[in-house]
Amino acid sequence: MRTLIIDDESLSRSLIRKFCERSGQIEVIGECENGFEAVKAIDEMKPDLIFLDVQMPKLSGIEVLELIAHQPKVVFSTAFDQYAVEAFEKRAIDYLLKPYLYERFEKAIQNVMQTQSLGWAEGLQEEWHKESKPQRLVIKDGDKINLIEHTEILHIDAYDDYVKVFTHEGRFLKKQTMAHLERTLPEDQFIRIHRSHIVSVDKIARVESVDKGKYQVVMKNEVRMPISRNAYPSLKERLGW
Amino acid sequence: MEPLLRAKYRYIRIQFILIAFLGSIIFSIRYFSEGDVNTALWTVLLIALEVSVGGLTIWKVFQFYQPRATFSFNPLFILVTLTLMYGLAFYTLSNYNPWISRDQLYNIGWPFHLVGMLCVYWILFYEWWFLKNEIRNDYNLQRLLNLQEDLKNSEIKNIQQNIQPHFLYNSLNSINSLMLIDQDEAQKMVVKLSDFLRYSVLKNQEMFDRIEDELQQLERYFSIEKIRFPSRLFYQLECSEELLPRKMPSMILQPLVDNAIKYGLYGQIDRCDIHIRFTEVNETLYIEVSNNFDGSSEQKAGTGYGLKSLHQKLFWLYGDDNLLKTTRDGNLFKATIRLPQLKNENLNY
Repeated sequence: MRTLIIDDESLSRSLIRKFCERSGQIEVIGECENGFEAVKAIDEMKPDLIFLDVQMPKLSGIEVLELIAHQPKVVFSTAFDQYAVEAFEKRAIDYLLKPYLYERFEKAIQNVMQTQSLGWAEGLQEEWHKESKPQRLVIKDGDKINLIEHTEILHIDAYDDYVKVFTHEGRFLKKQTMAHLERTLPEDQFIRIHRSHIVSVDKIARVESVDKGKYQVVMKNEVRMPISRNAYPSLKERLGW
Repeated sequence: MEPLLRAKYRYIRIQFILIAFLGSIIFSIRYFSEGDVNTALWTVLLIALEVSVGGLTIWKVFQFYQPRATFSFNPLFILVTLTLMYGLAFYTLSNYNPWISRDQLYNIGWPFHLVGMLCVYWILFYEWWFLKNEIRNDYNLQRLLNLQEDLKNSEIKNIQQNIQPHFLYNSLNSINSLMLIDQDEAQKMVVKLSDFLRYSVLKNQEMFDRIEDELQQLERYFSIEKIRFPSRLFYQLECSEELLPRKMPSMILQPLVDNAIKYGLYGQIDRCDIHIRFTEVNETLYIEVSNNFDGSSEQKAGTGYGLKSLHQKLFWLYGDDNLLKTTRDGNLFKATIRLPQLKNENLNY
């Protein structure tokens, strides 16, 4: 099994390397000390398995999962990130709680080898988002990783399997579903006005009537988007009339 | 029942009693002077109406007004305005209402109207002088209770801070790794960590420490952290020889150091340089904790409990609220503590 070790502490990486050698089944093909390196390495080297530390500077382990195209199996490790732990437990995913012994490591490896599905991807991110309530979206743009604060987002449009996120800086494509975003973006900042549109409440300039019974939202930058019949009452309530 | 609520209910009860008393007096005077129950009743009713309307108006106006300790013209101005409005309303009512004739209304006699007005003003007077004091006392009591609660919590937090579970936890994790990789280093770390804890517990009981001891503790702390991040964490502790034996308050540097590590080390993926410097200028000791951080993120002086207790402690010891300053210059963050040095032997400085 080809494996990447991703952890910001070099001691932890050395320990995992030693454990891998001891198990005899795992070949370590590389080490990464932060999320940015990890995303690059995973997509380039396409490992079968990764050891992923959840708490890393700037980009967390779970955000790394959001950004990779190739999907390896994952053994998570965490110190005490309460959000990660709760998210893992809700999804019945195994994780290594530092510090741990070789026996525990071995058991985690066996678990991972035995499962067929990954199971963790979409569901885990959603759970983690719900628990930790991050204030930003992470989006990959070629080789560049963008960290976009929720306050920068103007609106989000559906785009096949992706979504298009609009900010003052430009637009970004993210492989995500509208439903996931609707569930995980903070309710007080964002509202879904249409099957294909989520808008940031603060950036709304006004709501206009287009036709009998049909309305549209006009944003502060003059962009217009239709409001679906179903969404209109709850939008009214949110805006307070 | 909450003391404030009790005060309010007492106030209302007294009002009712006094108004009933006043009402009966007015009734009796009127009855005995005119000999007519109807007139007497009308008088009482009208006075009651005047007092209620006047009182309600004043209550509505002053409801959110905070009584001040010093005399202020504002309430007086409002009262005069209200009186004029009241007079106008009375005039209009007496001339243009379909229920009572003007004569009947005027027949009540101006002394009774005056009594009505005085009742209204008296309500205000009471509100101002007596209730103000009551409320103030109750607030004081509440604040005292809150303070006690705060102190209890802070004692607990103090102990927690001293033990610093996260740091302890991370260190044990490192030792676990080191045992397989480099056993000598593992042993060294165990010893370093126990020294750190020993000093931590000790200094919890003292108000002041020697600068030299604080520096040693910082050295232990940083060297342990450096084992976790050998290529990313770099630190420098700078202090001249003559300052080493001086005393400084204990527990004030840790929140700043934690903050520097949080933003400088955990908050970015580049190298972190932390610089701690002790200097003395004009009999004032300056302690500077600076770190580089990610310019695009917002490093603050630190939120939460550590900073609050730091401020409180400094204020308590030196009586000055302005002893902690932070500056941001590009991607360099600097927190400076200013400690006035008194040359009084007895004060342990």
